[in-house]
Amino acid sequence: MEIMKESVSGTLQSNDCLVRVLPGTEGVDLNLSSSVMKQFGDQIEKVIMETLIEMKVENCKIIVEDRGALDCTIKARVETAVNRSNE
Amino acid sequence: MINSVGRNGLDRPFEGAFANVVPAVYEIKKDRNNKPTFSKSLDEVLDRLPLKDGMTLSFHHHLRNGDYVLNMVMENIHKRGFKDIKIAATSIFPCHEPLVEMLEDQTVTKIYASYYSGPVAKAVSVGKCKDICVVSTHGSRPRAILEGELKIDIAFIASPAVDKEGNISGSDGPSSCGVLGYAIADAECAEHVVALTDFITEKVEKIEIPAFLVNEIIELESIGDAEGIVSGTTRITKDPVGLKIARDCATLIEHSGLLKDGFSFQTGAGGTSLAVASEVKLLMKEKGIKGSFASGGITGYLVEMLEEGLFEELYDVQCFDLAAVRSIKKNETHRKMSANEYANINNENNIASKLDVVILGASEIDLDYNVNVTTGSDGIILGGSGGHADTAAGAKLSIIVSKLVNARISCLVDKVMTITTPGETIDVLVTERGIAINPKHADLIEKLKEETNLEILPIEELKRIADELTGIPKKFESTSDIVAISEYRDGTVLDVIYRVEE
Amino acid sequence: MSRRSLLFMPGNNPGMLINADILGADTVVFDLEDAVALDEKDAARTLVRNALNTLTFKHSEVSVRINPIDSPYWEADLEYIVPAMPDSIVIPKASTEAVPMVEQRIEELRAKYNVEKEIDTILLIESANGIMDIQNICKSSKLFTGLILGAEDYSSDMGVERTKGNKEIEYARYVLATAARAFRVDGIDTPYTDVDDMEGLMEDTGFAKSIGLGGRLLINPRQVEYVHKVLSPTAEQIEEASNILTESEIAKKQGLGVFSYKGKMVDLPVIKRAEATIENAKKWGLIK
Repeated sequence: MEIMKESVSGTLQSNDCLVRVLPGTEGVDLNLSSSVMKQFGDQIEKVIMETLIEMKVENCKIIVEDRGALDCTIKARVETAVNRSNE
Repeated sequence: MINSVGRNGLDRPFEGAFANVVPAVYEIKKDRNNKPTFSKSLDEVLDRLPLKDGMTLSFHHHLRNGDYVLNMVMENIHKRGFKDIKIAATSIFPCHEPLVEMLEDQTVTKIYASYYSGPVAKAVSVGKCKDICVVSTHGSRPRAILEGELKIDIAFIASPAVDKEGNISGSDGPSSCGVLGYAIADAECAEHVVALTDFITEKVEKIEIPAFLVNEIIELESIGDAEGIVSGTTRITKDPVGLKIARDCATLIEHSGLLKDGFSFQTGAGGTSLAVASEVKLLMKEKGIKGSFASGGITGYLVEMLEEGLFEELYDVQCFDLAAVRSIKKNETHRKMSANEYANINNENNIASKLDVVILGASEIDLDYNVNVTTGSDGIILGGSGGHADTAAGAKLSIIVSKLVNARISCLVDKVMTITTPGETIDVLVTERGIAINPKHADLIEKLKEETNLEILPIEELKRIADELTGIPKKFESTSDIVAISEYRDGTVLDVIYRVEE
Repeated sequence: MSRRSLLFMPGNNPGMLINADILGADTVVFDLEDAVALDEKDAARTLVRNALNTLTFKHSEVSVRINPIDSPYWEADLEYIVPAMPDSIVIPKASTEAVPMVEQRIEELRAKYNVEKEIDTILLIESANGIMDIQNICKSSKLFTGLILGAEDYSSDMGVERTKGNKEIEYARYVLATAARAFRVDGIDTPYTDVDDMEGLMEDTGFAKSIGLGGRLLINPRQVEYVHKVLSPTAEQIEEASNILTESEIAKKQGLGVFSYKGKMVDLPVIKRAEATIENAKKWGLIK
């Protein structure tokens, strides 16, 4: 799937995350910050990348500000942002 | 040396919660004919005190985040160029930020306190203090002072009200904080006692520090910011998860066999703890139970319970809100107590040891029931024992109430980063997803399973539930430099706290 | 199915979804309709689907309220939610048109995604026409196990003000209670909107119970325990039900069709009711 325009989903509330995707050219450029970076930074990155692969997004810039969201929430926010960028 | 909870115990390892109890009676050696000198200038008083490098100065935290006294004194000492000062404060708050600079230039080289928060806590964590700091307990501090283990050269006492004779009380004046329980051992034992006040009156009621213990009284414009001293009101949580924890906790207390006439109880001022108090109150009313006392830091909620006759007495070492401050001034059965009377392990009559139930929090708890309220998940100091370890050991039933999972952080870990309170003194963990009971209480587990619908789980199972939600966190890697020790009630070393990379 | 409490949770709030299962409600309803802003419908259905797929719900039945058929969202809602296998789906603005349409779509999606689990529906009656036509709406449904009164929309349709005394919705409550009993499904009352007035909630729920409504929609988790206090069988009722079942066993052994308990004749409906009472009491943790 191609990222056509900038789009956002999620919130900055506790247990949620804010995902912003923008068009990109060379692969996935991820910018991640998290309240649980030390404990779960790697895991969050893995979930984001897996979701993008599942959705066949090859090129994009993605900025994620996490506030302790569980994997299922991160996945949902990424999916929604990607779908919105394609509407 | 490895101590009995498997941690670095340095040269005085912890050997068990009650392994080193030495009952003691303390005599005050001060001259009862002493009369304090009154003045209006801190400078003038510091000029005549025998100040020197390396001395130990004590402070207390009754004015909490509204305290002006520590900064006022230390900025003056700093200006005078003294070095290597040791600060024995009961707690360090965010308002004490000016100390950070004094750690950096080694004006201050060691801190001894029961609770650290804000910039100073962070500075200690990242290694800005030259010597190893001490995180003690509220009960350990007076023990160490009264037994001469912690020698104080000068005690600076923020004193909300002083009378013409020089007697001191916490429950009057514009900076009224209710009670001065943490400062009393300091007044009794320090070489020099300096009281700083902004309110001198004809006569104070409910004297806490008698004039003969005080050498200097300094009258200043203001000793604190009323806004930061006590909160207007402390409130019960409205969070449904907190309320669920509180309800289950109350059901557990109801079936513990302890909720009967003479019941004694302590709880903190956190929203969930207050919700437990509220549920317990309903149960006591419903069953017509008259409790003996509630203790600790006191909130308006416990004041209401006293006024409604649910407890005979309150034992108050610190007032948390305005309702408590008002009550302690007028109500005879709302009693002031010193930290020694509250929680000193060697004082056989300490109130903590008479408690039936205490409700406590935890930032981490492990499979051995060890609790950490000293360091955060990033390794930085964010609190300390306060009365945690004291009351957990003293009470018949010590209950930790905590959300199991909040914003992806689970309170249940394999091994807590810092042991604040040893697991042998923790009886129950109540979370929103189940209750774990220390296996030493097989009878209680059986009873609760029979009589209630509470979800009683092995602590390992509860941890599995949490891990399933959050995933397994990456192991935290600290340095091997020790910045502080977690000291137990008896002065032994329960654990060490390592430096965190900035 | 017996439901005392159906707790509404906004579908786009991850913090609340995570803890939905521990709040003690018999059913939690993840709401994709009124609790979700129009431009967040997509986010909410994705989040609820993921929550259903990953979280374990062991204490509460899980239901999802989809958007109504006169909105552009309901089909996508079902497309996302049915494969995630909720226990039931709440159909808003239930009518003889909406109910068969939604239920048919549920069945098609179950087949499409090989969902073996059966998914019930709960019908939200929230218009004057809904109350008038309730019997036909019930007859038009193949999957429903409950009827809910949505009094806010109903009273606005009626052009009347909502009042504390609830006089204006009394007729609708009687009708809904009667229909629920007639079709042997759960009769579920409208939410009590003052979430700080627990005494009012209990009193009003007491009235609902007295006219035959056994459940209530809730908009705040704190309401759960108060509603349960009112709508659960009492210890005496449970004991009586248990005694009746014991006597019934004895009578059966003696080959008696009817018998008397405390001087009253006991027949099959009474025994069935006693069985239901005991079954619910066990399910709700009132007896072991």
